[in-house]
Amino acid sequence: MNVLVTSPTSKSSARPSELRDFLNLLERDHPKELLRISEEVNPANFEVTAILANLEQKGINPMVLFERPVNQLGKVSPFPLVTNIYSSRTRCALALGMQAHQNQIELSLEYSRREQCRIPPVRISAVMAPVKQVVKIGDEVDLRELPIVRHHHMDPAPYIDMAPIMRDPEMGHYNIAFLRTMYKGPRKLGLHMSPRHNWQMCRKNELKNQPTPVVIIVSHHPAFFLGSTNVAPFGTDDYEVLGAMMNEPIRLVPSETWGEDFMIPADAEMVIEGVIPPNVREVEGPFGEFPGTYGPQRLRWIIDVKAISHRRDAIYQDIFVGHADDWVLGSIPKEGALFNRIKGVVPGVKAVHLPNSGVGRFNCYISIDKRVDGESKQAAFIALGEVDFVKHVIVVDGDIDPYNEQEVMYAFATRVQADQDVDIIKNSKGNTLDPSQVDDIMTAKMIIDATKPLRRPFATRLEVPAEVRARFPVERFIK
Amino acid sequence: MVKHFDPTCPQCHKSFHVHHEDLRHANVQLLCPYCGKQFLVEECDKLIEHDGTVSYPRRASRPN
Repeated sequence: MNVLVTSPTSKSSARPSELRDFLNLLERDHPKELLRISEEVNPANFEVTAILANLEQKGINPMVLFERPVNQLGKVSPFPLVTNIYSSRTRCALALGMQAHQNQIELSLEYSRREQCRIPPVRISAVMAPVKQVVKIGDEVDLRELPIVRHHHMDPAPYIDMAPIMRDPEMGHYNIAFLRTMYKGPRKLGLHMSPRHNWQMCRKNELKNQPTPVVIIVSHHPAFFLGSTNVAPFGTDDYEVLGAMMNEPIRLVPSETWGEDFMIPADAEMVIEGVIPPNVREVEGPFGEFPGTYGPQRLRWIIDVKAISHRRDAIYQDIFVGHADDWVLGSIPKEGALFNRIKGVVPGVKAVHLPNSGVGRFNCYISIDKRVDGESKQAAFIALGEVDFVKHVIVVDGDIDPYNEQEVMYAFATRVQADQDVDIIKNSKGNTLDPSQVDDIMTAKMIIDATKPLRRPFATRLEVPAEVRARFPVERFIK
Repeated sequence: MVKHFDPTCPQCHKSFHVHHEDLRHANVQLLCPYCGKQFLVEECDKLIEHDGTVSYPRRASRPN
């Protein structure tokens, strides 16, 4: 990792992005995007997720700031709790500094563009680091002070569901990923990892019977966490990707536990430092996961918490996992990556969307201006091969908006003959949390070509003459 | 989906999902997510295996 040292003239001397700035932006310019709840609620007793579920049922999905969450000591926590940030693509666009209306494929493409860029982090001193305003070490740490959320009925405990960072013991790069951590005691968490990047780092240490340092970034600016879902290859330093995502260098400061050997983001609201002891496993879970179903109880790692540092008035952050908050966050990075890959082979691709109805991962809608028959299937193959989460692909013509599910289903209803236009691919790599999957690893994938054939006449879609419509705008009749 | 079995807690009688490969034969105490009771697989009221087979381990282990 390249780390720059700050100088008064460097770009890093500009004020960095903070979560509280984002809250202020919403409150000032987009007040409907933020709901403040001042009533006392107990997050560990499902009261936060009950309110979120009730809002969701009514089709309302604001970011919610709980001003008086009760902690596990039975007191109002000093840390307000913010959640459901990512359930709206508009808020995600705003988080990346874009306009509210740029919330469809433009958002995903901008994400993808930034993901390819790198902005090296800069180092600052601890006295300049907001996250170091309060530091607690060893026995001073008590996780019960935090308003940790118990999300769903079968979850055995409250979970911190934000993003741990680990450092590769051989290559030295940092990796961040959303991983669930189960509250097990005032200084103990359970940790679940899938066999991806953080798992590889931990495994390298375990093979040498070494502990793995881990730092949980509990709260930060939303662009930081959007960047945490990046799909950059192993070996990429995620602090550089996160810098690109935030459009500014991440300011780093030495951790309390490992000093300069493990740098942490200075502008986070709150971080928890801990170690994963090698080859120790305990029961963890079940946990309500992204498909909207529970993943089973497992034997998983634990974290011995060593330190916590936070701002004096830190905000605690949570994700409503298994709901739109989780699905939108999962979809944006994949849409941009898929669009760019498909564009290289099918230049007429117009948009790619992983809708919430497919938990932001399993269903993929692709619209193309097809030049020759067969291009739709080429686009679909790329989507299936590129992202193993994607299970069903529906390819539609360019007149269909893939961000409008009614339109996609219209194309499915009127442009598909099942014996001609549906292909099933057996024994592909799937996702272990897909509840429909019979095998541990393998799944069946499906392509639905809902485009019109080019080689024969096809019934024309109804149209009211555009020039006449233009003469009768609805605003004339509905004020 | 990974294979899971569903034990029923001997204390609160609610069932939950447990990873088959990790825990079915590990002789490790399971944790009931509803009431916090810790128990071994053979102590559960009812057990639905990953293939749908149903058994009643606690009843079977009682002396006649």
